[in-house]
Amino acid sequence: MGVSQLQPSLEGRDLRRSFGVGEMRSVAVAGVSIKLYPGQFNLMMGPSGSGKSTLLAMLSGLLRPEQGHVISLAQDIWRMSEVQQEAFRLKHVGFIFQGYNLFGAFNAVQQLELVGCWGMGMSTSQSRKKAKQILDMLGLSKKKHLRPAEMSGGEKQRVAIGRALMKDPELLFADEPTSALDWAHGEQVIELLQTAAHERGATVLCVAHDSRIIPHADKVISLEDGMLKGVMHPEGNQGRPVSEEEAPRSSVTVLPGGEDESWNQERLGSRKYRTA
Amino acid sequence: MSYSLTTLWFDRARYLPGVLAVGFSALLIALQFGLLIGLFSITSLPIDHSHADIWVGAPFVQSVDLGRPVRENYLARVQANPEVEKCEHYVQGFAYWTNPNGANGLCMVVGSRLFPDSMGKIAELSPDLAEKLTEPGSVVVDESDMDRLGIKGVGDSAEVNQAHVRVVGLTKGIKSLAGPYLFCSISTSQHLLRLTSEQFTYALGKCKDPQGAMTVVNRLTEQGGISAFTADDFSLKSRMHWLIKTKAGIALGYAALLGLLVGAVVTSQTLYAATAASMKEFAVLRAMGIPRWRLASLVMAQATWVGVIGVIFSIPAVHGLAALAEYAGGNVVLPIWLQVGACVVTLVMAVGSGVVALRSLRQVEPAMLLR
Repeated sequence: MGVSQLQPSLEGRDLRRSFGVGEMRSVAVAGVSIKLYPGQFNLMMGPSGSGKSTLLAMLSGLLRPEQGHVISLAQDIWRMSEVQQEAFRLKHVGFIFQGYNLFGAFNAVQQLELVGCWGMGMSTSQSRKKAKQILDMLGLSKKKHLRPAEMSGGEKQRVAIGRALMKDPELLFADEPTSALDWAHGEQVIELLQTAAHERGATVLCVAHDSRIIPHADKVISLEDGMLKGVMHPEGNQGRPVSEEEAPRSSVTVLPGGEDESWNQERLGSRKYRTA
Repeated sequence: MSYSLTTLWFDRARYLPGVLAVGFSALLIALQFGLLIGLFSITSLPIDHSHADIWVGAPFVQSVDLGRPVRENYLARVQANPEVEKCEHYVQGFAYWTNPNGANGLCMVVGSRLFPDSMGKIAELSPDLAEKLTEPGSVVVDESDMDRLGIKGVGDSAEVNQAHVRVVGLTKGIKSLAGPYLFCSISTSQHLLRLTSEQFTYALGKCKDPQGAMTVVNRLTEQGGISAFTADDFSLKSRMHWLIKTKAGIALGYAALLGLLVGAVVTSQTLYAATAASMKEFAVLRAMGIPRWRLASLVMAQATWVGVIGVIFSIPAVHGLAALAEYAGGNVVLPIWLQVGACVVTLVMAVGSGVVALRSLRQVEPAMLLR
């Protein structure tokens, strides 16, 4: 794997966040630092309650951290006003969620067209044209005029991906995008996210439980109990050149109190990984 | 089709209560006030169905049916104005009717000249009926009042203020309020109302140019000691007097307001629920930076369309029910200003409901999608 001096497109520095008050207070994320680069498909994994979704929310500008910074495309997003954050997300960020969240009344074209008209200031005809192009690219040429109720789960998630891609976002966040799908459809979705990273140069951060996604990822970030347990690069996955910081000699960053090889083998199955 | 219309059509079952509430509100307002206007237009009927431009009576007259006896000099004062082409006497007043069975009731005696060009004679008195009224003690009543008067038809006799009268003809469509109208000659009316031959209730004037009526009225009012009105003003004054005096206007207005309130509550709740049902979809758009005002514009557009569609549904319903009321003997008057006013008020209510529904958008937080 080549090494270059790419700057991270998304960096979280010592992020902390907890919920509740007093005795009910629980720490969701406890001082996590992370760097993500353009053109990479990053997978964030961990058991339930490990803080993945909270970390994703902080990195994507949806949840203010109690401590720490998020530098997104060279801008500290949590120093921005709410209006500036909204404008930033409008210009640079796409989201995909587990539940598709498509408007029941709109067909596939309209789901994407809405983003073009309302978010990008396009005319209806321009937006419709781009929407159709994206749907064609996603293999939904014949499903353009179907409403969500007439689509399968995989088709709905592809429409949701199309909606996220309408703005050609530099940052794409996906929260459990395959949880509601069978693996055949889920794999299609993951491949689309990979394509968004590798061919469009987006920084993709995907939160998931499914270890079958690991071979598709350029980087796997593991969380446990709100702390970063490790960052791994699956062998054989060329991904994009990364900074010297991440270049292996070792592709496992062993943190104080971190993991060992047995953890890797247990978690990652038969896939070989370079370790320290 | 616009996004708001697309959503309304797709989820029409969900939005139907709101549309019906708006339609019902518009219908209620139009019909309530139409009934009210129809009801009290009966009091100004002698003015509206006759041809005088100017009505002059005793000082401080509040309504055409509350006139007091005046004398010949009133006629002279009207005739003295150069704009006035001709004048004539007119008599109107309440009296007691005693039917053949001895039962009593109120009636409204209306006496006018009976010539074809008479100003005070209502249009419904045909030349034939006018001819018959030249007989002393003869009266014409409306066919709808026969039961109230306790008579069977033409030729029946009765007493008015203990004076004998005979029914010589029937009109159609002359509704009455406090007491049935009895149309007769000037001399018969003076006899029934116990006035002298020099006494009458109003001096009527016809202007060479109807535009001159206001000038004459202003001049006569300035002179003082007199009540002077144009026909339109006196008609409105008579109706408003009974509207306010009887508090019927307040009662019906209150009912219409309640209808509007119910409509507003149902419509706002319908829109709120519809918006809340799309909370996650809105949250995704907010997550991607779509401004809140865009989402608000969708909700407001939906509210406006709910209002427009509800109002459109109400229009044929209003006219249909008004026709039904007329068939049943009621009198519903639906002037264009009332219909437009009902539509506008209801549309404003629908849009206002949309504003209330916007509070659901405040709960749209993108972070909730990641919990």
